[in-house]
Amino acid sequence: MKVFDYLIVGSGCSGAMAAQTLVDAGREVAMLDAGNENTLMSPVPQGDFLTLRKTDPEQYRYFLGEDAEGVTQGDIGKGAQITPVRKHMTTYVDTHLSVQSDTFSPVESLGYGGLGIGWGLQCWEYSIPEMRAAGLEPQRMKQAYETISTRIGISGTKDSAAKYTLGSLKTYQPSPTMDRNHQAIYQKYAARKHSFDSKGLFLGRTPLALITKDTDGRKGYAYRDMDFYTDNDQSAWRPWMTINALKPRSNFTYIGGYLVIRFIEKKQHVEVICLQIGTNKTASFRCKTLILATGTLGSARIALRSLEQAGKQLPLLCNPYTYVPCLQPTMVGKAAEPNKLGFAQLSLFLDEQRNNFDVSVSSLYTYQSLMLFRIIKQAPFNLRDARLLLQYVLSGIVIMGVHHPDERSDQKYISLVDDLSSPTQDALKIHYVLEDDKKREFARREKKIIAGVRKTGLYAIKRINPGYGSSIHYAGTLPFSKKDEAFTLRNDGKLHGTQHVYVADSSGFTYLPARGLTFSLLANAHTVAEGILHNAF
Amino acid sequence: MKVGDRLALEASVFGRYIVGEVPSATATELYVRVVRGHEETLAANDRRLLSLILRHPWTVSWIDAGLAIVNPHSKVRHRLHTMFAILESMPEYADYFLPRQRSPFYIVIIAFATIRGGFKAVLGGLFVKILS
Ligand SMILES: Cc1cc2nc3c(=O)[nH]c(=O)nc-3n(C[C@H](O)[C@H](O)[C@H](O)COP(=O)(O)OP(=O)(O)OC[C@H]3O[C@@H](n4cnc5c(N)ncnc54)[C@H](O)[C@@H]3O)c2cc1C
Repeated sequence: MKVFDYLIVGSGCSGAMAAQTLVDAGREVAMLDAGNENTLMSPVPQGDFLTLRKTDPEQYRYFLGEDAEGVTQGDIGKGAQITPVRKHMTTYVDTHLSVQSDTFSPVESLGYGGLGIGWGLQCWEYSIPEMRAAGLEPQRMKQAYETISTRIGISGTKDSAAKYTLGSLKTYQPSPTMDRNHQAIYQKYAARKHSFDSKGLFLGRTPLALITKDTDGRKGYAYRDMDFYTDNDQSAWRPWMTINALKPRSNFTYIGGYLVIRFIEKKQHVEVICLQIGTNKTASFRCKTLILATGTLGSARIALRSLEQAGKQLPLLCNPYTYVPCLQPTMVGKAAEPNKLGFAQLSLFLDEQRNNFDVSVSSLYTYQSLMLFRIIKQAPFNLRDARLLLQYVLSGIVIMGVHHPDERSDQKYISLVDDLSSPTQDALKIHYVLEDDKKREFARREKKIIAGVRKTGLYAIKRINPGYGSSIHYAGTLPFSKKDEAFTLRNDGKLHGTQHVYVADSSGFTYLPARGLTFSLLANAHTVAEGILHNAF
Repeated sequence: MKVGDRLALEASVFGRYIVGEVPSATATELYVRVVRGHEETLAANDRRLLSLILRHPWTVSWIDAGLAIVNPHSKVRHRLHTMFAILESMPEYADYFLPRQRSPFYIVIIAFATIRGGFKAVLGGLFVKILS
C-alpha cells in the first residue's frame, strides 16, 4: 500500500491552506476528504439578481431548490445563507456526524470545501491581545495574514476602525462600493463620530475575502447580488477554488468520498481508518505525517476515537450570536437597488475598555437577495398583508448580526458517546451553556449597540437569539498547551502524545474573539504547514 | 376528487389569495409536485382546515391570519408558505415581491393593511381555535 508523505484530512479553509503551503514547497501531498459535491443542481446562469428574478423561468431551482426544499418549516434559525444550491455542504452530516445535545446545535460540513462553501467572507485580523489569549504567536500570525491575503484576495479599507478590521495588514484590495443603505448609515456615523467614540463604539468597512479587481483568472466583484447562490465569477474566495487549482499539480492527489474514523500510529507510518461514504465499507490509507483539518468538532471526534479515553471531556468555544432585523425608515418604499452586494458591508465594534480585547462585533447587511419567503413566516400576519408590508419595507431592512467573544468554562464541553444508529457507532455529546453573568453582560452590550445604531438611522425590530451553535464559529476542542498533555496541541499544531499527527484547524485556539475566526484559522493552517516543513519553531 | 386535482385547486385558491391572480400552469404544477409527497403527514385538523378553504375560498385569509398567531408552524401554513415561495420565484409575479418605488402617500395603504391584518389575526385566531 502506498505511504503518502503528507496526508491532509478535510478540504475546508484550513485543509486548503495547509495543502497549498506544502504543495508550493514541492512536497508530495494527498488530501483525504468526505467531499460531497453539488451534482444535482444545474449551474446558476450568469446574471444579476433583479434581471434573473424578472426573466428566468427556471429560477426556482436555485432560489427554492428543485423540490422547494429551501422552503423550510420552523424559524429561520442558523445558516439562513445556506441556500439550496449549497445544501450539499451539509449532506450526510446528520447521519455521519451524529450529535446529541439539548443546548447546542452546530452546523458542520462534509462538503468539498467544507463550511467555506457558504461562508460570509468576513476576514478580520485578530488584535495582538486576542492572538495571545487564543494561543497564537503574533509575529508568525502577522506574516501569515499577509500570505493568506495574497493567496485568497482580501478587500478592505483603512478607515478609522481599521485597528479592528484590517489591523496592520498591508496586502489588500479596495472595498467594494457600499449600497445606498450602508452609505446612509456611514454618513450618519461620520457626522457623530465623537459621540460614538465616547461610548466605545467604532464603525468601519468589513474586510471580505472578495476581490474587487481581476486577479489570477478571478474576476473583480461585479455587484450582481447573487452571492448566496453562485460563485460564477469567483470573486468570492471559497476553499474549493484553491483545491481545484492544486489538483492538476503532479505532487497533489485528492481522494474524495471517505470519512476518516480514527488513526493508529505505527512504527513506520500512520494508518488512517475510514468509511467509504455511501457503502459504509471500511478502508485504510497510510502516511508519514497526518494533518487533521476536519473542523474543530471533526478533529475532536477523530482524536477521541484514536487516543481512546472513554468519557474524556474536551472544551468547546463558540461565539454567542444574536441577530437583529432593523428598519431604516429613510430607505422604506424605494425601488429594488440594482448592482449591489449581499455580503456584510459595515461592522460596528463595541470596545468599552479601548484595549482591542473582549470586543463585541456587529455586522450589517441588507436583505434583498435572500427573498421575502424566508422572513415572511416570522411576521405574525396573514401572508397577503404581510407581503404588502414586507414588499414596502424590504428596501429599508438591514440585518445586524452580533457576535460576542467566548472563553473556556466547565459549562462548555464535548465527549464521545455510543450511538448505534450512526455508521460511526458514536455521537458527539455537546454541553454548552453560558453562565448567567455572561448572558446579562451580552444582553447589556446588545442594548448599547442597538441604542448606538439608532443614531445611524436604524431601528431594531426584534432581537432574535437563534440558540447556541448558530454563529457557526467553533474552536478550542484540542487547545494549545505548553504541557505535554493528551488532547492538547503543541503550539506548532502537533497533537501531544503522537509523533506524526498535526491539527491545522481552529482546535488549538484557547480563546475565541468575536471577530470571525476564519482569517486567523487560515493563517494558523499555513503556519502549521510551515512548521511541519521546517520541523521547528 | 383525485389528489392531483385537489392540489391543483389548492394552488389556485392560494395563488388568488396571495397575489390576486390564478397562478400559471408552471406554478401550479410545481406546487402539486412539491406537496404531493407530504399528503400523509397531514393531521385530521389540517385536513379539515384545507377542505374548508377549498369549499369556501374566502376563509383562507382568516385561517391563515389565525394560524399565524395560534399555530405558525402548522402544515396548512407551511403549504401556503410554499405557494408564496413558488410565486415569488416565477418571473411573471416578480413585481408582487420585489421592492418598488412608492409615493409617500402609499403609507395610507400600508396603515390600512396593517390594521386589516391585525383585525384578521384576532378574529382568525378565534376562528381557528373554534374549528380545532
Ligand atoms: C453561512 C456561513 C457563514 C459564515 N461566515 C463567516 C464569516 O463571514 N467569517 C468567518 O470568519 N467565518 C464564517 N463562517 C465560518 C467558517 O466557514 C468556518 O470557520 C470555516 O469554514 C471552518 O473551516 P475548517 O477548515 O476548520 O472546517 P470545515 O469547513 O468544517 O471543513 C471540514 C472539512 O473536513 C471534511 N471532513 C470533516 N470530517 C471529516 C472526516 N471525518 N473525514 C473526512 N473528511 C472530513 C469536510 O468534508 C470538510 O471538507 C461561516 C460559516 C457559514 C456556514
